[in-house]
Amino acid sequence: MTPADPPRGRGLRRLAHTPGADDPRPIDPDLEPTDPSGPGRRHRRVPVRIRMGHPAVLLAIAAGGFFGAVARYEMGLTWPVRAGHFPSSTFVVNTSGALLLGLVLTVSIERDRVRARTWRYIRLFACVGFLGAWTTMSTVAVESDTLVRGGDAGVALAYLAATVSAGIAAAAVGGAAGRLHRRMGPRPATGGPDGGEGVGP
Amino acid sequence: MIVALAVGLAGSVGAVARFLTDGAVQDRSAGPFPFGTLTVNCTGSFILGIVTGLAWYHGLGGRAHAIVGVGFCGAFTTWSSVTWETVRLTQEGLGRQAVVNVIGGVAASLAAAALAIMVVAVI
Repeated sequence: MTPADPPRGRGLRRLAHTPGADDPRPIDPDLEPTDPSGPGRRHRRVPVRIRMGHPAVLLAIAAGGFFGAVARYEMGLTWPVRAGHFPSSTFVVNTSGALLLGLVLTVSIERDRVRARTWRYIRLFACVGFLGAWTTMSTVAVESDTLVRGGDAGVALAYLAATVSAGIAAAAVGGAAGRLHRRMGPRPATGGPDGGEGVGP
Repeated sequence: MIVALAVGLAGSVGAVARFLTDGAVQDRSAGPFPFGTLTVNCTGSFILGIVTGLAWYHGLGGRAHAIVGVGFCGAFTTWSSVTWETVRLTQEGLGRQAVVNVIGGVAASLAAAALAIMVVAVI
């Protein structure tokens, strides 16, 4: 599809010229794919009260956040890192979280033609809640700062480079694996899968 | 056990706060660049910098540090979103924004944490 083509299909998912036109997966995982605050020509503001929606939305995120934070806390206790050393436990936490986010987000969005609400709550619990809380940016920042203060700037640099490159690779692999799942799994009864190839009927 | 529970509850608050803050920021920008994630990561890193500084220089207890730092700040900030956004921006042909997102996000969070620690050290 070239940018000059008119929008095909219907709804936000088929808007041409806009990011996300050919791929329903959101750029910001904290936004639902259909959130009007997302990028696009139809961008409009959503009052906080409306985004919160049903109390179950916040409850699902809170539950996921609880387990994500506890798991990372326990990980830090069982896998302590000595001062001046590569913070391997945070690295493993963040890289595994990036991989799982790509996978779960992709599967949950490409499968949500059927049982959309269930998939949405899986997404809120697992992606926004658990994986958002499991992974962390603030710890990376303070750990790097601490390493630099301790005279281990080289370790800090290696840590940042490893976190960035492994994280991006993990997210890409997770997303691709999610689409592999689509190709291998049974197709939903109501129409073919959306996005990806961007080919209209 | 009690501390782990408190860390978990702080994580719940952090995750919900991230969801709402991210949405509110994204509300105010129509473009694809994830300013919401950038905002929570910088803010959370600054708060963790303050908590860490308080622990280093002002004798903040280990429990408070675990609950606010590991629980709240850890859950409020996120790394998985940054990597995913970078991949998606690249796929959408927005390579420059993808680079700015990941490099700028890491640099800004580092700066926020370092600034917070310095501020607490001076106080």
